[in-house]
Amino acid sequence: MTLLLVILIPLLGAMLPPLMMRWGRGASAGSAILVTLAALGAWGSMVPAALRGEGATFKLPWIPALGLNLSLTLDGLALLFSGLILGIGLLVVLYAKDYLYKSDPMGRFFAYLLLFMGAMLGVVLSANLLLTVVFWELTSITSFLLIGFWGHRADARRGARMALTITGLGGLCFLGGALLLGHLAGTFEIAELTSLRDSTLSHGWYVPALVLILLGAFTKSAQFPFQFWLPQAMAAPTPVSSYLHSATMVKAGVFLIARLHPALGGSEVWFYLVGGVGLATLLVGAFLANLAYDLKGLLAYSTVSHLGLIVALLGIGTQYAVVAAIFHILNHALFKASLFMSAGIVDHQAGTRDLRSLGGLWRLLPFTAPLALIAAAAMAGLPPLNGFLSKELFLEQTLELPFAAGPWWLVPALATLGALLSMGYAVRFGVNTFLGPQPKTFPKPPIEPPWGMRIPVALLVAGCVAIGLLPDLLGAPIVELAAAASSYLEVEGVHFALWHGFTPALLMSGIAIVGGVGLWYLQRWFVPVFDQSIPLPSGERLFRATIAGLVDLSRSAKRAFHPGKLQTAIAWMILSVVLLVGSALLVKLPRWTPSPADIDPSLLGGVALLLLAIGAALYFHRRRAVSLAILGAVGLLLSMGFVYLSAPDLALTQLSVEVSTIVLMLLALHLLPAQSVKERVGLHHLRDGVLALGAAVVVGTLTWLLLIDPPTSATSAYYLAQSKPGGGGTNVVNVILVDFRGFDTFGEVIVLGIAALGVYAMLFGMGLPTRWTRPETPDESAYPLMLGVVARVLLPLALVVGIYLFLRGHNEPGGGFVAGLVFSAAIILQYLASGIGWTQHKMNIPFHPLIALGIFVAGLTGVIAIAFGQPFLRSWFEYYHVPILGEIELASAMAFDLGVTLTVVGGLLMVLVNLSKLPRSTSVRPLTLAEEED
Amino acid sequence: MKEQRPTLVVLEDAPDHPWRLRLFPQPITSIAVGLTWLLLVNSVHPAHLTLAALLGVIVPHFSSPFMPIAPQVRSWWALLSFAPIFLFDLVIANISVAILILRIGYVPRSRWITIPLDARDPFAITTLAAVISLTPGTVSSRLTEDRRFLLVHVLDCNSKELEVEKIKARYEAPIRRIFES
Amino acid sequence: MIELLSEVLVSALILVGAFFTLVGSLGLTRLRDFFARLHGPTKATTLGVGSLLLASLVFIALEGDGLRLHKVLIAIFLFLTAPVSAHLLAKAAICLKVGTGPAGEVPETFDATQSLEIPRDPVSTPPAT
Repeated sequence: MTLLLVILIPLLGAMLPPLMMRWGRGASAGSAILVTLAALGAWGSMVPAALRGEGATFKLPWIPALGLNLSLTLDGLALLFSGLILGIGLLVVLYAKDYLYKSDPMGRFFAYLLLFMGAMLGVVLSANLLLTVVFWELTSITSFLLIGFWGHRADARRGARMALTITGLGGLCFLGGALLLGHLAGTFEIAELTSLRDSTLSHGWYVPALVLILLGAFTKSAQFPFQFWLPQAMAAPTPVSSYLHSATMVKAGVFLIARLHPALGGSEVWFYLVGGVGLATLLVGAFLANLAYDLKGLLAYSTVSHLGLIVALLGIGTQYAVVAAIFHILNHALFKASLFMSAGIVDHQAGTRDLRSLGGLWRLLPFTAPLALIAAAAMAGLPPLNGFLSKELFLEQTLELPFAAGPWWLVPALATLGALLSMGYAVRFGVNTFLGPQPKTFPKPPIEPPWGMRIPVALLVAGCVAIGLLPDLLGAPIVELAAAASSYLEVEGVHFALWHGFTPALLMSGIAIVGGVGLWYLQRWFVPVFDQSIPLPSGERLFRATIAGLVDLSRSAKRAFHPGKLQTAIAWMILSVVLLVGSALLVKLPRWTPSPADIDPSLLGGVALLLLAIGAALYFHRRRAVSLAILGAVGLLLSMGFVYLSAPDLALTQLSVEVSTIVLMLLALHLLPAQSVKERVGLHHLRDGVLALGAAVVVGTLTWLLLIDPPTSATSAYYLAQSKPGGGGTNVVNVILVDFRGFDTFGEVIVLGIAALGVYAMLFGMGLPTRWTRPETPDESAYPLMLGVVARVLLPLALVVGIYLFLRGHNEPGGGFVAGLVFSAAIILQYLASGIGWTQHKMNIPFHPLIALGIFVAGLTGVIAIAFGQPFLRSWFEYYHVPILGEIELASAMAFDLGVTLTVVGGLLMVLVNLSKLPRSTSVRPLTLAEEED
Repeated sequence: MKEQRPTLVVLEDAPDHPWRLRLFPQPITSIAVGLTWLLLVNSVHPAHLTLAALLGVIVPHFSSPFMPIAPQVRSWWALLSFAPIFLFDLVIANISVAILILRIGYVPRSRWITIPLDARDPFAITTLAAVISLTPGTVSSRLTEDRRFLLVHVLDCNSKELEVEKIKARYEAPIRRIFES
Repeated sequence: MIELLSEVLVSALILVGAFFTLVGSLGLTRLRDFFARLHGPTKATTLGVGSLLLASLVFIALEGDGLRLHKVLIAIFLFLTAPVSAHLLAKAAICLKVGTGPAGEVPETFDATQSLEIPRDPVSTPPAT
């Protein structure tokens, strides 16, 4: 349970910072810190047990039929990662408090950050592969919000989009791989997958599943050839980069590889694929970092390179390789977070992060500079820092590969080259920024930032040094635990030491360090060369070209199907329906055995009337008001038909919907000319005629089939039989709506609310008046006295009728929807009779909250059922005997129906009021015929 | 969506209602609501009586803001004595108009008549207009801006003056007694 | 005997109602101008529907199912709304200058131009003089 809390606290706590903004930025940041601390506390309470190897677990079936369980575990790997996420998360929150500019919406920032934190914790704590996918996608979305936080900047939008596209596509691959893997193994629980490793490895689907999952991990961790999105994501505010690209987002891919290593690792495919990609990334990233001018770009490429190193180690997959990988995850998180923060300080205080206009900041930032240099040294892998230790381990592991990879010296040489390049860019970062000559001016005179930005850097650098000096004490236990969880082999007796004696790895390190400094010395010559003349092969260009191609494709598709002409769009729609349904009918029809049906002559008469009315509407279609009036008559005829066919519920609904629709349509017609355009007869008329005929044949056949062969399925019999005992009501229609298919109704209510909000949003930009001008005299022309008085007299009576329909709905025709329509009609009458301004003032009920309240009440009814251990929306009813009053039925369906009613009233009135405001606003006027023709 | 509050003096803003008025802002509405409920359920079961009373208290609280001035029946006796007159006229007028319609070839002498109103109360005017329209042969068609004249279309009219006289004496006077004095 | 009487009563009520409804509809075709036709529907809703409702009331009461007073509500709602719709139709017709037939032109006092401004409470505000 505490495990679940660790995830839920940041996810739910994300609501706090925006809410606290009304008490100022301090309160907002404070709440974010408190939420993080709370999560950290909950996590901390489980650490001692986890360190003893008795990590907490939690399991709750979510959709057991799909194998999706809410199962969490705190093993060594999860412990390490969740610790990094929460610890560095706290430091980032502290740092961001002072980093954010006055103009940045702080509440929103912390909300995104906490959401991301929760999602990331979900990824690392999840013990079910499908659950991991769910949280994985959440991290993609929240990181998109974070990277694009400065949405007013084009580069931020571009970077966020690219990150989302790449990681989102990767996420899809991951989902596919996870499904394949779950299918071949028969489970999604990671622990079970681990125990099934041998059979998985020999399964024919192993390779496709592995490749798909790795695609997910590689895109997330910006592995070659997907590395290009990471530098683009540097447009994010620096706290985001520091968080996402040191300990969290990009580490998710690495985490996934480590997590599935015990289940999927150890094969040749794994070794070559993971190891190869990792090594390639290590080299490409390190090389590109040496060419970067942007401080954060340099760090981004270096992150790519270090992630490559970790991936390569996981690809090697021996015990000590895994230990080295885990150790480097920890070390990289520490020094990279502090480096990003230092880069952020430079950017924030000097106003630039271009290496060409920086230098000599040592004297101006006497506190930050040494810290940044130490962190850079850790990144370069200099003793006695933590980076040195894990890099040594890596170099050592390249000498003992489990599978052959070219000549024996190839991989070690490449690894040394990587280390050399890494030394090169570390020097480039440190020296070009903090040492050397100082430029004449900076965009901003740099001074030390507030302590809130310096302390997190100091703490992180202290961590680097401490682990470097006391690796056995501080690093070994947790690394051993985490490595044991990420290897299919036994991991025991992990020891780290700064001094191993004269080993080949030390020699390689030495070469790398000396060579790296030399490289830095040469950079002034070779960097400009690459800058100007040598086009680097870039996945980014390919990505852009692909996206541009897709956009072009969809543009031309749109031109074909929806060239801005409603007729064409609808023609395509009808055509596809006719073809789809028609072909289905053609398949089914021969097998149909129609039963003879009695034809009711009076019904036929009704149908004839209906056809006549529709024909009249068609004939008058150019005179819009007339055809609308005829359509109203058609509606009335239909509801009479429903009465005749013993469907009083439908009749009631049809009637009340008809009333509201006619009013709405009249308001909408007000915006159009009274007569529609007279079109020239052309080829499109032929097309429309053929389409109409086709649609008529298909719909007619369908109706005919339905009528001659009424469904006598078990479902309707069940509903009829169970309505009273199961749902507590004798009106089957209503019981179906609120009980049997309550979930559908709930969805429809939400759709209704969204539709109303959509109309509101659409009309919002049209310059609606918010205030009415009031002349001194009442106007008999617009608001006749008689209508006003009668409307007001009718209101309470109509309300009673609505309540009556509402209350009896469970047992007799009526129900929440009809009641809502009756209430709305009564209020619409007030609007018509007394004007919007006056009625709105009297209403005093805002529509948005009314819609929300309706959905809330309906949803709450469902949730309460859960609280009683019942499925969502399971209805409850009870009969009570009250003295004098007699037997009274109370049903939860009534509360649900109330929610329906409220949403209907709110939605309908909102649409109506806003539509009716439209014609009066100055910016909107009825279109003239000429304009409509365009 | 905030509206500017009208500066108009409206009755419901009067401070310090006695508890009776706070519970029943409009007693007539409460009674009408309760009666409507009983008619709807068509029962005087104690449960429904309770419910009717409850609705009589609740519903007017929602509806009364829309009716700043409640109808006030000054004389119930006048109301009761007017009802039979109205019903009688209704039947007579129905028959005479039926005859008129069935007389083939007869062209009715339609006329506009203007009725100068003495009634001032909105409910009185409305009731008068409604009664005129409900009685076949006359349709109240329009009210002047100042509510002093009512335009009535008469289907078959011999004398404008006589018609105006009849409506004023037979309908307006009793209706004014009900609502106004 | 009682049964026969009641059947006669109910039949008579139905016939009366049907007759006046029919005459109202006839009026629609027989009368020539818009305002004259307006009189037709008012008849159908008063005596016509009234008699039919009464017939239903009596019938159900005599069948032994008790008094079904819903019908009273129907009558009330009809009597409340029918005159308003007639009034509005007439008003709209005047505004649209529909032909008035033998009644002649609408008196000038009532031929006001239409305005779409929003007033204060249109009912309780006393008109300016």
